[in-house]
Amino acid sequence: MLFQRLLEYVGVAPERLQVRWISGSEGQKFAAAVGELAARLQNLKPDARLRDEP
Amino acid sequence: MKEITLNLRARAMELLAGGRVDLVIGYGTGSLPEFVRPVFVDRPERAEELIFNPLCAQNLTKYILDYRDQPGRVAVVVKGCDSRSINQMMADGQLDREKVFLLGINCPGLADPVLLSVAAGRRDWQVEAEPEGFRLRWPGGERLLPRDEFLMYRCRTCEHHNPVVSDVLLGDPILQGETPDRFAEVRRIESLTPEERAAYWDALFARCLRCYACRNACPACTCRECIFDRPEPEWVARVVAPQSNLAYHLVRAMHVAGRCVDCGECDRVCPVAIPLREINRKILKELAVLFGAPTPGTSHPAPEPLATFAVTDPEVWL
Repeated sequence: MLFQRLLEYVGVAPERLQVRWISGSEGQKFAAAVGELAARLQNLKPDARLRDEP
Repeated sequence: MKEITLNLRARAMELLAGGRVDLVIGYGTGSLPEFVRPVFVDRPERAEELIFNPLCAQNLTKYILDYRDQPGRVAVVVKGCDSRSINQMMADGQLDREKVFLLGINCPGLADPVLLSVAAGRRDWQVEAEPEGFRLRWPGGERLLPRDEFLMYRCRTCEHHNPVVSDVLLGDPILQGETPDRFAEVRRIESLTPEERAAYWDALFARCLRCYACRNACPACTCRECIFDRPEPEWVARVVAPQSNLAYHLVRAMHVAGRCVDCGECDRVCPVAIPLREINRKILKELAVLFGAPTPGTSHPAPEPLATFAVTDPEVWL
């Protein structure tokens, strides 16, 4: 939560960060969480600042 | 402040001569008028090297960590801001209080070395703090500079003029008035649009040389092996580029989150003047908002919101 606010502070879209507690036995919950994040990221423009290569 | 210097020397001499400490870490005259340097006094007769003046900015507490595993005891000069680091080092389990003797100084606020240097316009001056301001003296002349204009930036929002922990206190206690708003600049940055914020920080991080001075000066950075030094895995790329600089500064700030005592050393030592403290202060502000936490190191023991769990913790991600 702190890190998300810090990301927002330096101008990175806070929606890019998601933290969930998911047990190793909760495969479906994991898939749903990743799907949800991926869907959210589809709506954002690419952020060059977060890429590995300059 | 002359009086503080004399008292400091007397105390250091007494401690060293009596065998109560093996080393006194303090400030000494530097090679340029606007700088003081740390001195490591190991014999009573060297106590004359110690000084205290409005240029004594360094937080010397980090040096203690080099001596904590050696036999004996070390004395260190601490101002109010530096003393918070001592509390935090104890909270982090980095320091045994018995190993240090704290020469606390009631500090009215320091002067900005660059502004003094410009005002003096010459290379042979000395400075003394006086109630009305900072008095510059040079052979054949002097000038009184108004305190408000020449006060060091970080001293403008001083939270503790008087040390929060010490073994002796030198100088008259200073009335701690209301602390000016420390988060004004953080709020200004927050009020920008996301694009403006990104542009603001990108421009600053683009200057970063990755010299790691901010890490080395930080009294909260105590890892023996730092992730930024590890070649394998290389968690943060060492190339000086906008992406890796952003990653470096975010990781550095998060590693000291909840332990940063807001001493402002990272900010002061940065050779390219990146306002690093405004990143740390964003975290301090959020800690205050989310957990009602005071500045770390204000007291010991103190609540550590990021190191403890409470059912009342705010949680948006469960």
